[in-house]
Amino acid sequence: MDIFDVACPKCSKVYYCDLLLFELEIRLHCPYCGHYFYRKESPRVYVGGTGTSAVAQIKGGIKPEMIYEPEGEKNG
Amino acid sequence: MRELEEKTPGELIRVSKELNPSAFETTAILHQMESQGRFEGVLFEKVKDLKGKVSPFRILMNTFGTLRKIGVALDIAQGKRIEIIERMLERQTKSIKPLQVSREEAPVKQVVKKDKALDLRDLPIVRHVDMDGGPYLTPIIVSKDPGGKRYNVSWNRMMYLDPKHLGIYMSPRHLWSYVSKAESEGKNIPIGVVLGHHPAFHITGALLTPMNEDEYDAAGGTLGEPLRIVPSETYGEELLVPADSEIVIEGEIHVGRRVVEGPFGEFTGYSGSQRLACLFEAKAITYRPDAVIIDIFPCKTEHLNAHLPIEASIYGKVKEAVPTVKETCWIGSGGPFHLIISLKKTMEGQPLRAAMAALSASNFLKHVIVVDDDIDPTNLQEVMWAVATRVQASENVVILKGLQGHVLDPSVRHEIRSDGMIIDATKPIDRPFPKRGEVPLEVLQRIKLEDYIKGL
Repeated sequence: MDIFDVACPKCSKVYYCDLLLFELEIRLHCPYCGHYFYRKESPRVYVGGTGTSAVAQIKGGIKPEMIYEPEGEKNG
Repeated sequence: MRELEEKTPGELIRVSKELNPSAFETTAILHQMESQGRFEGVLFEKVKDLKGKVSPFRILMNTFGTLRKIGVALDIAQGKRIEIIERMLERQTKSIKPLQVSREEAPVKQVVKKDKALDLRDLPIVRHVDMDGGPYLTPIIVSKDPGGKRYNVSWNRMMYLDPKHLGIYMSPRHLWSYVSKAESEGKNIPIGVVLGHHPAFHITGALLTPMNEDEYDAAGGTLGEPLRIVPSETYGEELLVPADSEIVIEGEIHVGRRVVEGPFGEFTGYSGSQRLACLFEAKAITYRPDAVIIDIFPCKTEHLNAHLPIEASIYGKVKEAVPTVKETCWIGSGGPFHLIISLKKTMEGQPLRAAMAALSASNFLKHVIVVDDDIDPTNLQEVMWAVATRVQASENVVILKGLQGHVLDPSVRHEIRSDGMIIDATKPIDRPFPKRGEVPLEVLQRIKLEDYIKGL
């Protein structure tokens, strides 16, 4: 199953969970320091897939402000 | 252990220095041994419990580190690899009814603790690899079909949560189907958590027994004698547990409850992701005062070897489909999801038929390589030579889509759906094919190396 990386908000160490846990409003459990936390509290979550592909090579994924659009299209 | 020391001297070593298993200290020893190619069983005689005190219990690891040790458990101490597999197959196709004994006759009932006296922190529990979600037991779970009579014996991982609770993860197999049934009825399911028994009983946990055959009977077949069972303290006759266990934790899996469990270093060699698992509540613990806990090092060779019954089942099915199959190699084939089959090809199409029989026998398999009987399936260099010289991808490779795979396969992106691949690396028999370049046998017998090169 696809997984997502998540950083513990307490110890900052990164581990991973089943993608099934991504949308659930349950607390995750850091295997390193034992802290329980909600995904939204994590300083870094990395899912991969569209927008964060290996081709894009941008750590942390693609944010809208990173995208260049031709001058004529900016307000279009 | 006594039998192991007598029949295979050197296969068991004892570590008497104090170690803390929940701080990776026992697996640190095993990891270094495996790096040196050493796979002896290791009895850790002085280990700390989860409260930090030296435990009266000992931990035995690497019980399944070599096939030779499994052979001892199956009463075939000096057998070759394929002979041990054939013995496993013979034992697992027999069934011997269990024998119920009284409490007084059951070694596991020597000490009984319940209620406030029950505290799982009194156990030494191993934390195996760095990303494990907590200390883990690797026990044998005994359970009974809810509303039925069949007993199931399975190997499951259990993560320590608190003094009375563990998380239990199960692949979608028999125990999982019992839990699903219990959930539909809204009733918790009682189980026994066996933390040590005869190694042949432990490998019963990996049998591919059909759902209509009782696994206590199958355990008897594997042991070569009836499994002695005794009523549990908590559930009486409703849950009979193995009487000769070292330790049994009795309790129940709660329906409608889940825990966040893992990551856990699995047989794949990877730390499997954090996921949802079931909640187990301990109700009682019974044990021998000097109990030995059998623990598996899941990321390592031992864990693969413990799957021997599956390899034996696959071998049996493949041989049934194509009787000219000589040998199969799953464990030691270079990965937990490969199988290599060697056969004497007597007609075209046999390799594919043999491979399909293997793939249908177990969802552990996704890649099957079939070689001729001049190739040793346990020698990966020879196997790869056959693949290099006897395979044309467009003709001899079959890709299968949408197979039921294994939930712990890290390459599977869907929860369980996988691809499969068959490589037919056998020589064609319907057209001429070059022979191996070899020195004539008559000359090899006449010209001996030691007669011409000194020091050999």
